[in-house]
Amino acid sequence: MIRYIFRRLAAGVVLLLVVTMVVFAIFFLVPRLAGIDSDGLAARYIGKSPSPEAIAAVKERLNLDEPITVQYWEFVSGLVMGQEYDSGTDIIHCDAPCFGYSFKTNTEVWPQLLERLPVTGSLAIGAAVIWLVAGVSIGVLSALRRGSLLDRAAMMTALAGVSLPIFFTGLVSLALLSYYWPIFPPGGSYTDFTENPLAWAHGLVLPWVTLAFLYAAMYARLTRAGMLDTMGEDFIRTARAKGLPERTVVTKHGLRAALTPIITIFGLDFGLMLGGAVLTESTFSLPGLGKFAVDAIRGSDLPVVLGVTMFTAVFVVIANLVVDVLYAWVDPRVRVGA
Amino acid sequence: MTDPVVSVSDLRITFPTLEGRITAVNGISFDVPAGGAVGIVGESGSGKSATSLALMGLHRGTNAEVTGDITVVGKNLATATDGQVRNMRGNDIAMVFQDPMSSLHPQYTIGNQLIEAYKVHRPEASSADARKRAVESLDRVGIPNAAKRINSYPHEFSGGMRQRALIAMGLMCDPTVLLADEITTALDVTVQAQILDLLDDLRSDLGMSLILVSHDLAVVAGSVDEVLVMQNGDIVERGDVRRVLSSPEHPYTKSLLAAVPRVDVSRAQRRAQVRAERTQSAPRGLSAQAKKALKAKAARQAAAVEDESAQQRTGATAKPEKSAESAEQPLLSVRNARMRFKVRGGLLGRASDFYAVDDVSFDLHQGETLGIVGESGSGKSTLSRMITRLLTPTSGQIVFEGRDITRLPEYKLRPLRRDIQMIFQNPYSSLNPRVTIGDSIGAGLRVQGESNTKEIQRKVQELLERVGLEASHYNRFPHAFSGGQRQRIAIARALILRPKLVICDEPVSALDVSTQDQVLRLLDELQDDFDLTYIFVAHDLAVVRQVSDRVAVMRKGEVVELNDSDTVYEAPQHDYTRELLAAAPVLDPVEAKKHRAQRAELRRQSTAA
Repeated sequence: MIRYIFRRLAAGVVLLLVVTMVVFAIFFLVPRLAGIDSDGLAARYIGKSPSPEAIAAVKERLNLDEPITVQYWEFVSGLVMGQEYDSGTDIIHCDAPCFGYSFKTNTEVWPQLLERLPVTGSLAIGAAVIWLVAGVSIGVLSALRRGSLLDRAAMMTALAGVSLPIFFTGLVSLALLSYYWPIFPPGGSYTDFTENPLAWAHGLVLPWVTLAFLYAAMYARLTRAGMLDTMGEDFIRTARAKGLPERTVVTKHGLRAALTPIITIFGLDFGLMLGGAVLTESTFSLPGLGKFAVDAIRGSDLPVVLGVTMFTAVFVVIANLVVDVLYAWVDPRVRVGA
Repeated sequence: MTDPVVSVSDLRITFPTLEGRITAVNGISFDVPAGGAVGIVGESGSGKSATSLALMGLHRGTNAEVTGDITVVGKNLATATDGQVRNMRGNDIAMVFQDPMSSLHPQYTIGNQLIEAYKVHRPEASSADARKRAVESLDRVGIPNAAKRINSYPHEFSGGMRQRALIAMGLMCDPTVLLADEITTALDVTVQAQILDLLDDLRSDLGMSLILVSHDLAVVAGSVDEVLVMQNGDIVERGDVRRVLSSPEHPYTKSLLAAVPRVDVSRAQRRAQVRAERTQSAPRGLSAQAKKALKAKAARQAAAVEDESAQQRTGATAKPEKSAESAEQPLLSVRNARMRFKVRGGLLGRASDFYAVDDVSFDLHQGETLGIVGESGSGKSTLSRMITRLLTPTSGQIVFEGRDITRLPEYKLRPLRRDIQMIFQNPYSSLNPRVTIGDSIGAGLRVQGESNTKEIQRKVQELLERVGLEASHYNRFPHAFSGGQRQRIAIARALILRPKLVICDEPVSALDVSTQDQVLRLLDELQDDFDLTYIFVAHDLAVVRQVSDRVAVMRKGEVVELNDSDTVYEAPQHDYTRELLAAAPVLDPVEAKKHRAQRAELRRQSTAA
């Protein structure tokens, strides 16, 4: 087991390195291959109608005239050890881990990422709890009462949930439950958990439910299919033949096996979401990572876009790692192939 | 006389289907006396499994409709509440299922699953007690080092050990009746014998009643007192096992018995019989001349059989039919073939070598059948894959018609694929469900360059008729066929290219006995008609004997014995061959008891040594 975790960890580190390469290539290599020279590239990091001096300074700071390998080295070492953007006349420090520096707002990206993480984290965790509980239990009930009214109603709702986009369900819920009946605060209101937990939860109910609705629908369908397969397995018959009560058969024997593949998908979904639930955050104007990224894209603030991309990738890789370890713990057969 | 522990009267089970209700069990009645053993025998679809599930009340909550009375240890299942039925399961009557791999939960340890079975009926028992009980139970069924293996997961057990673990689970609560459903079907013969011996021991030691459900008459022969033969939901014959097996009354029982491959019937005898029957029944499409030739062949064969008995089976009699040709160049010759696989394991994941086939050599002549027997993991399938060059041997040579094909590149192999064909074991998974059987069979022709669709269809339809199907089946999909029919399709697919050598990898092991017999006959006939050479790979000793001129016995990648088939069966030279033969189930209950005693003796010797 320990060896297995160790191997996964090593694989995770390699994967992260590959991610930095890909992200770097997208932002620095691809434009170059597309025929944009270093002047053009540098101009993208400054506001409109840049002066030649400003371009020269950015080129110098980002080493855009150096070979691509040197640039990549600066980029990666900056992530680990911090970086200094030297324009020749002045030096901008960016502390480790340096996720980039916005020349437009003259701020480091990393502290801003950290600042927005709790918002996205709150949203993701709350929604995940709701969608897991709702999705899995509805899926199990549907599978056990296959073909019943409950099953059909649940699957119809799930179909709707999968099909309706978040900006639709989100806006409808805001219109109804915030403006028409002012039960919940309007969009854009976020109170930090440490400040007032109740206000925190109250403000997040609508985004949670909206986001969870989509995922709960997917998970209900997945769970239902998994449970239907599992309940037809021979070991379920064995469990019944032992004289176990049906509840034990379903939960201990059926659900355990059916949940295993769901763990994998959950890990990936959750990891991705920590990098920003773009649609939900935009719809509810929550100051999270997703909104941060959208604003940066709108303002062509490339270092921020790059930083958020890297940050999200890191979360996905970590989530993957956690899933792998969890999987081995849940399903002993996985450890054999370790 | 005490009351029977299980009493079934007028049991009827129906299942709803799209075509209306199907009757699986049609009003059967039987009793199982305390301490007695009853065998339920029947082929697939006979209703034996539906019956055993009904005894456990496992049809509850399904679409099946069960009527009639079932009384298990004084409880009437028809009137019992769900709670009472649950209470009975595992406690009064325990069921051991077929296919131990899928019947154990893969994510819980063996111990966990055993303890669960105990605690559900003994909620007052402490965890330590339950654990102790589980260790005892595993120990009782012969799992070595039970106290440690209790923490293993099912995938860490071998097939035989899993089956034992399932039996141990059944024993946890000291049930009055043990219901064993096809529990040896997935196992090797030696393991099968061990498991049946174990059941017999348990019965005498614990005084349990046993219900043994199987498709195989030979499996029940040595283990039960009374046998019920089921066909299409009815019990067609019942009685004392010795009486039923020695003088069956119902025609179905008779045909079933006749179909069981017998380890004591030689290839020559069977061939003579098949040919004789064939000339008598005058099959379609066979010219008078061919019939005459067959008759002559059969007569020669019969004479040979007589010769043989006159020579009192000295072992060197049943030579391959074409022994005159053995001086010529062999069709196939395998020389020192080895196949190495890298197995990862150990602390640092270092690969170690594992020889699946280790230094195997033999020659095979035109028209001959070589049987390869061995248990799972013996390397018999790997060997056949090497001969077809689906695998490239690590070392050694495969020579086909004088040509070394060991390292031929794929494009040079293609013409050769025409000459060497394979028939696989599972007729369900080896046919693509989305391709019509006509296309499946014709694909070989297409690959070999035939592009005239009409011509392909004509050839395929001709062959379909030859293997006992109809030309009109050409456009059907595999799901429309039964297991036996599918195996005929697989045979047609192998023969469409008129190969010289056909490798049959367990071609009948997934089939019912009567279907098995028909397919074996077909293979025999085709060998005569197309002058085929067979390599026949199987784990069933009796089947191999009936089709093979010579037999190779494999164990752990090596051929431990290779001789003509009568010698291997009548005068085995190697200990392992003797062990296999002693484990083979026999139809005669008296003989079966004798074999059991022999095995017990062998075990005593090996533990003493």
